[in-house]
Amino acid sequence: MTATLHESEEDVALRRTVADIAERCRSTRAAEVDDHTSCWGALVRSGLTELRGADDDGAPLATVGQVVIVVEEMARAVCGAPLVGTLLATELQRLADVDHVVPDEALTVLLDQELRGLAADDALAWDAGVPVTHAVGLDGENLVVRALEGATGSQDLSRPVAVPAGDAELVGGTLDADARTAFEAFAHVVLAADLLGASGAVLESAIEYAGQRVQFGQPIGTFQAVQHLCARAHVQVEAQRSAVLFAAWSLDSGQGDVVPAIVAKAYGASAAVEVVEKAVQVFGGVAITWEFPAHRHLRRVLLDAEVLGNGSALSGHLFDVVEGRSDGLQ
Amino acid sequence: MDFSDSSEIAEFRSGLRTWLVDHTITPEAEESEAMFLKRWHQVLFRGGWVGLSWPTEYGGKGLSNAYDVVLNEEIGASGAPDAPRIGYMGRAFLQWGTEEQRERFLPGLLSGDDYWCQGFSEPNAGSDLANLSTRAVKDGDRYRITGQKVWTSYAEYADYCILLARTGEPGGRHKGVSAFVVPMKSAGIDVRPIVAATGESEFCEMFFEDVEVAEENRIGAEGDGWAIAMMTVAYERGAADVGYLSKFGAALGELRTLVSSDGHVPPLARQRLGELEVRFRVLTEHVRRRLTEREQNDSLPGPEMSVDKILMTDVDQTLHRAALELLGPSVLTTGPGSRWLEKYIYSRAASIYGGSEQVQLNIIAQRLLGMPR
Ligand SMILES: Cc1cc2nc3c(=O)[nH]c(=O)nc-3n(C[C@H](O)[C@H](O)[C@H](O)COP(=O)(O)OP(=O)(O)OC[C@H]3O[C@@H](n4cnc5c(N)ncnc54)[C@H](O)[C@@H]3O)c2cc1C
Repeated sequence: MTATLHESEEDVALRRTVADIAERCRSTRAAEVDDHTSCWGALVRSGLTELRGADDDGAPLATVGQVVIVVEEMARAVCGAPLVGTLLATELQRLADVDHVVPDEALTVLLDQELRGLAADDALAWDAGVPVTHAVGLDGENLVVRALEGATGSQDLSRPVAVPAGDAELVGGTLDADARTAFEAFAHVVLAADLLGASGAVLESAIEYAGQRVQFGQPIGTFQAVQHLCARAHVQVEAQRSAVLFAAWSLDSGQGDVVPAIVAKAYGASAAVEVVEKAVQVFGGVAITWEFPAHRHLRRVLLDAEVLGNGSALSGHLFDVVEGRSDGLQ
Repeated sequence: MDFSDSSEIAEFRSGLRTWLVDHTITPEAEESEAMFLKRWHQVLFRGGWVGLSWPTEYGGKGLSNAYDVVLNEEIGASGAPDAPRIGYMGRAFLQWGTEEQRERFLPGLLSGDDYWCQGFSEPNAGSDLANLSTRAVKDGDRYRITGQKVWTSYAEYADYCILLARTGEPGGRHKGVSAFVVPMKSAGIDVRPIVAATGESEFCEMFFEDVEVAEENRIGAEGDGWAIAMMTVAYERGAADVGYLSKFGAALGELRTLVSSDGHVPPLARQRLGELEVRFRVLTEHVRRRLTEREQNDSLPGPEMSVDKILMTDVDQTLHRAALELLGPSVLTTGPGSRWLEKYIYSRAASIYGGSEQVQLNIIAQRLLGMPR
């Protein structure tokens, strides 16, 4: 019923390819093991981990619009293949004019302990699931790389963090203020797409569940209280989608306007958490079990919301940008 | 996927921006809000800024509806009075009207010379609009209309009313409802303004006693009234279709200026204003997406507009509630004419008119999400 913006045939095919990989992740995952090596393999074979690699002219191989499709679909399954970290690390290297700083290894990004921004020291590597071995970060304007110790746990169960083991090594690339702003804008849109996928999918399954679960002799979906919960959450998902589409388009159109990216992440950070909370409510007690996947979605969006600035921090930042008190830098 | 400001749109935008600087207007003494907005509508029309997405035959500009968003954005940014709310009124003529009706009614609607009101709600037909009981009885080449309407915005100033009345059996619900254009100076109409909680008179009661309306003033066939009403309210739920984007943009800009007037913005205010900015921009982006979809699919608005209405209402209510807190108690301790309080109270109506918030949520759950009844 809902009309959606036309995706090109190419984009529709892309979405289908990724949805297949995500579906396999969902249907084969056991509750106890978070092994996403086969998902990673499928992503690599389809070239999806290299979407933001540079072509001969240094331009990215794929648009932000395409990246958003891939990230959203994988997030629907809360897949733990380190796709987002890899995309960010690749974007960072491309913007810094370096390439595969550690050949043949998978890389993610180094963030400060508060996850607010790229870092070099006192840092942790986020989205560091198998097979990530290194992470790129920033020391002033200089790109650095560090080897990682094995992944430690994270409350986002499928997405471990890791602690750097070796010293930070300079890799020759630098990132000036504009490039850093461009990186953050890209990262905000990718995170917003992750929030959209993880929250949208669990809402859809809650709505389906509400049509089947019977109490008081009727499906709980007939109760207006349940309907309104779902309807409100649907509005929040649609608004997230509008913000993500618009932000992706803004970056792809090359007008250099980073505000829509900040808006998409700031909105998604609060909306996605609320959507998943509402879905949990619709499922009832089963959502509070370890076995049921709802809490995986909740954990994913809670952590995503913090990466590179949560909703409150980004809102304040946006005010400064709009008031002309800041040039878009964090 | 494309939201682009093409070079034509960019040019339009900068032309409009300049024009707005040169054409500010202020209310005259004793001028009602409604008449002030009517005058502004006419000024805008003469400048060539009204009816952008309407066909040229009837006084429109025949442009894509992306231009309506630009109009809203620029009016909002300039702080000028609201964009005209005509986007939803009169759309019915394009779909259901005769050529003669379009030529007769649309130019005056677009130019702002004719003021229109919408006579749908009745004392016993609020959310349950299908319970309406105003009767239209066929009498030769005319209808005789009898009944009562309520909450009709700006009826006291209106030249025409789009009226819903029952031509079929009493109690026939959605069936047997027809839509008419009723000239407000017809004999037998009694309009009684109601003072709203804001202190302004915004809406009216209307009593119809054997009011004669020519058959050629019926829109569509007998029984088309329900579909016409549903399409009209679907447009009414779009923030660009009713000019509300401009209203929110202007309010937010003014609030920002007021709060930061002494150059110092307390951290809490900074965050609050930032959050409002996020919400407002998401709404704008959502509207742009919606209008792009409408254009791409060549479709008319439907139940998906309930999503837009909820988003629009949220922005309206969050913004005006926050304004009271940010501006402090002086808003409440001043005498009559406390504008921000009036705006706040009016924002509480946003989840009531045009289909209440609960009705929108019912539509989303049942018609968009397919939840069981
Ligand atoms: C400022 C303003 C301007 C207006 N302008 C116009 C106009 O120009 N023309 C016009 O025709 N009308 C106009 N209206 C009327 C408006 O459309 C009605 O007020 C609206 O449809 C609600 O009807 P009601 O006021 O009778 O409330 P009711 O229908 O009595 O609703 C009262 C409460 O019950 C809830 N409720 C009702 N049914 C359900 C349900 N099925 N499920 C859950 N909750 C429900 C509602 O959400 C609401 O909270 C205007 C109203 C206002 C406030």
